[in-house]
Amino acid sequence: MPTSRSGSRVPDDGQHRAHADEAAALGLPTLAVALARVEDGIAVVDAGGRFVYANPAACRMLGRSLDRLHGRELLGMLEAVGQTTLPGSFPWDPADAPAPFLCGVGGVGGGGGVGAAGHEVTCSVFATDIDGASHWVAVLRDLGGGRAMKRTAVALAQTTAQLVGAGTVDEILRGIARHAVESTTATACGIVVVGEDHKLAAAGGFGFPDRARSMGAWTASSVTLDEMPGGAQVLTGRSVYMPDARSAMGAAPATKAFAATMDSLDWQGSYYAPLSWEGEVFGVFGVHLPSGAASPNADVCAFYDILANQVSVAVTNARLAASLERTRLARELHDSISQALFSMTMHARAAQLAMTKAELDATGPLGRSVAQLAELTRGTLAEMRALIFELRPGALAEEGLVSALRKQGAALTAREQVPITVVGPERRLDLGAGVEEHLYRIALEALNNVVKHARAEQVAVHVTVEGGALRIVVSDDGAGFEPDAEHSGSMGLSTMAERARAVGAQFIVTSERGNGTVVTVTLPHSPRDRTEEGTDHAH
Amino acid sequence: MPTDSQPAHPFRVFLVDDHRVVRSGVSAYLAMVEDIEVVGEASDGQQALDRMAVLEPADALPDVVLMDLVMPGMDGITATRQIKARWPAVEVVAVTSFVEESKVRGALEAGAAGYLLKDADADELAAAIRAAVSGRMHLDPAVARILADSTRASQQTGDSLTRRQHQVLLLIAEGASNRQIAETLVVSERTARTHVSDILARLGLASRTQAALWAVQEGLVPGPRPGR
Repeated sequence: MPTSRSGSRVPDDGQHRAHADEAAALGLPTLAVALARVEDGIAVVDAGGRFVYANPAACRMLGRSLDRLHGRELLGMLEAVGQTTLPGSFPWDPADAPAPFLCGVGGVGGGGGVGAAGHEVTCSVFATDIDGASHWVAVLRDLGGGRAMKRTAVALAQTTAQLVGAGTVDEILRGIARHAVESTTATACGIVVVGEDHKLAAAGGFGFPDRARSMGAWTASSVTLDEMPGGAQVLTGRSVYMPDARSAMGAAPATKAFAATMDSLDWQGSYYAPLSWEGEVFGVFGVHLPSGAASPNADVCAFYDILANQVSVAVTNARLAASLERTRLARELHDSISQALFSMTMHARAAQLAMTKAELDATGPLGRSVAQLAELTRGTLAEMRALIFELRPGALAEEGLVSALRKQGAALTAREQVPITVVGPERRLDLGAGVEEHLYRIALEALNNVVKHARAEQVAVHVTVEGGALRIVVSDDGAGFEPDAEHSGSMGLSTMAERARAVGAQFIVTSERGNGTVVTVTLPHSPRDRTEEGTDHAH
Repeated sequence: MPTDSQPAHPFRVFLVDDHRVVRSGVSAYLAMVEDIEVVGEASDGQQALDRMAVLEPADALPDVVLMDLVMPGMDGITATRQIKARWPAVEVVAVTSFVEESKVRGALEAGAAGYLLKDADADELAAAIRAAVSGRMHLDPAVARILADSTRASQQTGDSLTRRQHQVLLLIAEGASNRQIAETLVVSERTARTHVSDILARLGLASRTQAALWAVQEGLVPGPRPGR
């Protein structure tokens, strides 16, 4: 490794600590230790390009200790090599960051030229905000390990930059996709993720001739991961290279529309890497390669996989943040609005009692208004509870299927003036979280259909466990419909059926014009002995 | 309005809730109810204990405390336990938005004489206060369902009880203490205690509250009022 030529000594632990302290002072405590130990040179410079931090590797490459770098200009420490030129002087525009460039270090700033002590590195820079002020992270890597190493260096550096600064998730995904295209022979790179409805949706991409159409095609075609060519293997957590993905995608009904948006792109083979978190595959990182390109070698595959990992982290972070935000919102609603609504029901009742005391007519205009107010408030409170329930991640798992359906039933009753009764065992059913979610959504969709279309007088939800089966029956006495008719497709029946299939349940809809509708979901189910759980919280 | 005979003085009620808006609503409502008066309020458990300690020397302790469960500072379950320890005659009714089994059990084990949800009708609040004063337990129907269901999970039947144990169980369900059981059945208090623990063991239950609910569940005694 050229590192040995730099003549710098390996920093001791004391130095690691000093560097870590510096990084911590910049507000990067979690990264500080890692930064002090990585082999890449990592430097942080301010908007004017002056050093505020450099890790031991950077100090080694630049041939100066940290205190001697402080305040010096980054560009003054780098030298152009060969045909390359250095980026223009600071300040740089964060929206137009220089591409990674080759330069000489270690022999400049003191004697001119890349001297005996100097060597060549790639320098990648990323804009970041520290304490609200714009900064740049520069990552220096020795050119020792060939192209793949170089790419990996840049990829890792980019991860570092994202951890430090981070834009929106869209920007990050686009940045990673762009990186895949610019660092390899790839002509386009797209990222699709599985949504709550189990369909794929585009989350980011780069290099597509008609980006909006390519991204929209996924949602429009309503594709599940296993329907996509190569998807089955990706689902097992392994990457797959398809030499003629263009034909395969163009032929598969699920991806035909997407492939059509890439007609003008030079594209033949594709490399698909899974996006996953804690073993669960939730999307695909797809790299599209031009015709005539060699199949990617192990180095390149490894590089794509690294990028896919970064995407996984970014998407998971974003989802986590969204779920925290929903939790926060649910708590706020609970703390403010539902407490106030409860108080309003009390005030309304107080007003009614006051009227009685004052011997005012409860059936007169004032009395009717107050009664109406009380009723509306109660209804709004029920709706608010249902809303909070929907917002809070994990609420279903916490409260259970029957309790959840009862809440939604009460809200729909209040909103739509259709009496909905929910009958079922109150104790938790032994269902996996995924299964419970699907069953809940099916029943909820059925209820929504009833209030939307059925004009029913009575609606009932019955949840029963007997004979080794869990059965959910949603029945109404409304208008009914002909299940074979064209419009039945708009009632979400296929989605409900799909959900049922996903959990191995039987899904039956019986309906007839004028005779109501019965939706039945039946799932093999043998409850475990709950004796223990029934008593263990008692102390 | 009370169905029982009119009390000598209105029932004194103390409100504990960290939401001022809730205290104001409940207080406005109870002010319109003839046989109930609000004697004080607090925004968390500790403040409630402090203020009740001030009321005590003036012989102005409340008959019933309406207790929110989730509050910053001392929570409602802890406060309920401490109130029951210091002033056993004061009844506590939990009024909360939460139906989790652990909270319901926590409150009842701490000695709460009722559990209402914050979507109850106003009149149910007054009913729960009156029930608590007369030694009965008032549970929101949803809460009763949860407890009954989890109690039923113990899968025991009344057939496994002796006639004597059956008698004792009925007394437990009426809220009788060991001493009252002893007096009613003319046995020693120790014997009564033994009967109670035998019943719990036989039914696989952990508390008198559960035993009472089990009795309701099995139809041995009338239960809480069904839905509104």
